[in-house]
Amino acid sequence: MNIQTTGAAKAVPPPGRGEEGRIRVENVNVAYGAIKALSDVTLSIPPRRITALIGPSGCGKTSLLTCVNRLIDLIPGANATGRIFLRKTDVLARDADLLRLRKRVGMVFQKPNPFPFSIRRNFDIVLTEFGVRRRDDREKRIDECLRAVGLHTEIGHRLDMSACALSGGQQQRLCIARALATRPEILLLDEPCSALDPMSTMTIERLLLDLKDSVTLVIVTHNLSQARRIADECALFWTECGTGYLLEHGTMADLTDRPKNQVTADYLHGRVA
Amino acid sequence: MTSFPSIISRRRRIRWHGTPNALKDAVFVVVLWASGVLAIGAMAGVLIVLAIGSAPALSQAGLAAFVLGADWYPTAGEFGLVAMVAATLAVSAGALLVAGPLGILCAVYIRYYAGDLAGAAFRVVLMTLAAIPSVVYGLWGMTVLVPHIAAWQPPGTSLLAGVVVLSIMVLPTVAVLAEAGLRQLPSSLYLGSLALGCARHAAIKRIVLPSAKGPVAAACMLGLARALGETMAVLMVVGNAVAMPDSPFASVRTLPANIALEMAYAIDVHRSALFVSGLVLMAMVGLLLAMRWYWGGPDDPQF
Repeated sequence: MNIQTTGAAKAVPPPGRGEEGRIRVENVNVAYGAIKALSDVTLSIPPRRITALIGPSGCGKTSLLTCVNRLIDLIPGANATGRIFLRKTDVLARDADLLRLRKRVGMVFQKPNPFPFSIRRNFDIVLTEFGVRRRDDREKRIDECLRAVGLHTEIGHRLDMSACALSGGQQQRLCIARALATRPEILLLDEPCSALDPMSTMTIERLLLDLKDSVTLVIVTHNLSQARRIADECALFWTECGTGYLLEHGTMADLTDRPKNQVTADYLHGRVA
Repeated sequence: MTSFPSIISRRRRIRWHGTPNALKDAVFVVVLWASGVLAIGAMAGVLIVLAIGSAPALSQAGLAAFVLGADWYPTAGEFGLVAMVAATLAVSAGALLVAGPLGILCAVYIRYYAGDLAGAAFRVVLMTLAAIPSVVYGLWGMTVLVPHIAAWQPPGTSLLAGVVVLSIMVLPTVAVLAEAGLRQLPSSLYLGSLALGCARHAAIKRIVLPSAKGPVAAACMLGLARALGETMAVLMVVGNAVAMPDSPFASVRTLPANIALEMAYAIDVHRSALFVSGLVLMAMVGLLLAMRWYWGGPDDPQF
C-alpha cells in the first residue's frame, strides 16, 4: 500500500518542477535549401532522463538536436519549421532569445572542442558571459563543474595548464563541465564518444548516468550498445529518399523487446546494414 | 626538411621497378628539385651582388659611418643611414597601425558577418586593391592627398601622406591573409562558443581572435614586410628630404626611395653606399621574419 502511494506520487510530478527540462517537439521539419532533411517529427523528451536518438547516417538526428539550441541557424540555407517547447517557450519562434536559450541548453560536440587557452580561461570566458563577475564565485563554480565530471582530482590543481594538453577523454569531460557552467536544464550530446577510446567512453557513460538526476540528456549515438547501456528512452529515426523521419519512440526496453515495427526490431538487433 | 631523404629513397625504389608512371614521377621530382634550387640560387645571387656592391663603401668608410653618421652626403663622405632607417620604420609602422586593425576587422566581417554575396564582393574589392600598381597609388597620393595635407600643414609631402598611402596598400594584404587564417580555425570553436550562449561579438573577441593569434600576427608581419619594401608610392608622397621623422608633417626619405632616387647617377663610393642601403633594408626584413619565426614557430602554415 505504502509502496503504491510512493509509486503514484512519482508518476505525477509536482507541479512546476515537472515540466522543467522536458522538450516537446511538435511537427518539426528541417530543410537544407530545397532538400528536406527531417519530416514532421513530433516527440516528447522526458525531463531528467537519458534519451538516445539513433538511426542510420543522414536521418536527421543531429539536425533535430541543433534545432533545440538553434545552432541550426548558423548553417547556411537551413530552415526549421514547427515548434519545440521548453516549458512555455517556443524555441523555434522567430523572436526567441537565443543567448538565453543556449545557456539553458548546453551542447557537447562529436569532437572535443576545448578553447586553446588554459583550463581556467575555458570556464572564465563562459562564466563572465553568463554574468558571474566575482572571481571567487567563478572559482567556486569551476570547482563545482569539474567535480560534476570527476575531473577535479585529475586536473583541479592544474587549472593554468592548456586545455589542449589534456587527453581526448579528459577534453570531452572538460567540454561537458564547461557546458554545465551555465547550469543548463538540458544537455545535447552529438556522438560525444565517437572520437574516444573505450576506457574514456566508459567514463563518460558513467558520468552521464550521474548527471541525469539533474539534467535532461539527449544523446545522438551510432553505438547501439551504448544506447542500451545508458538510455532510458530511445527514438529511432529512419530515412526515406534522403528525408529523415521518426520511426519509433519509446523506452529502451519497449524498442528492444516489444518493437512495433519490423525495421525497428531488425535495426536494434543489428540485422540491417 | 624531413621529407628530403624520403623523396630520394622513393625515387631510387621507383627506378628499380621501372614502370612508365615511375619515370614520370622521377621527372617530376627532378623538376621540383630544380625549381627549389633556382629559387634559393636567385636569393643567394641577390645577396652576393649586394655584398660585393657594398664592400667598397664598407671597407673605405667602415660600418660605423653608416650606423653612427648623422648626415647623408655620400659625395662628401658622410653616409649616415639612421634618419632613413627611422623614416622607413616610421612610415611602415604607422601604416601597419592603421591597416592592421582595419584589415583584421575586414577579415572578421567577411568570415563571420557577411553573407555569401557580400563576402564574395568584399573579397573581390580587396583583391582589386591589392592588384592596383603602386605607382597609381603614388599618383593618387601626389595629386589628391598631398594638396589636402598641404592646405592644412604645408608642404604636404610628408610622413603622414606616406602612412596614408601605405595603409591603403597594406590593408588588402593583411585582410586577405587574416581571413585565410580565420578560415583555418576549426569551426567547432566558433560554433562551440555560440552553443555556450556567447554573443557573436563576444565569441569573436574572446575566443576566435585569441585562438587565431598566430595566423593574424603572420598577416600583420607580411603586411609590414610589404610596407618596408614599398618604393614608388612612398617616394612620390613623402618629400624625400633626408631628416629624422620628428613630426607627421615632416618630409622624410625611406631606404628604398633612397636607392631609387640616387642609383641613376651615383658612382664609386656613393654607388656602393646605396648597396649598403639595400643591405640594411634586407637586414630589416630578415629581422622581421626571424621575429615571426621566433614567435610563431617554423611549423606555422602561414610562415
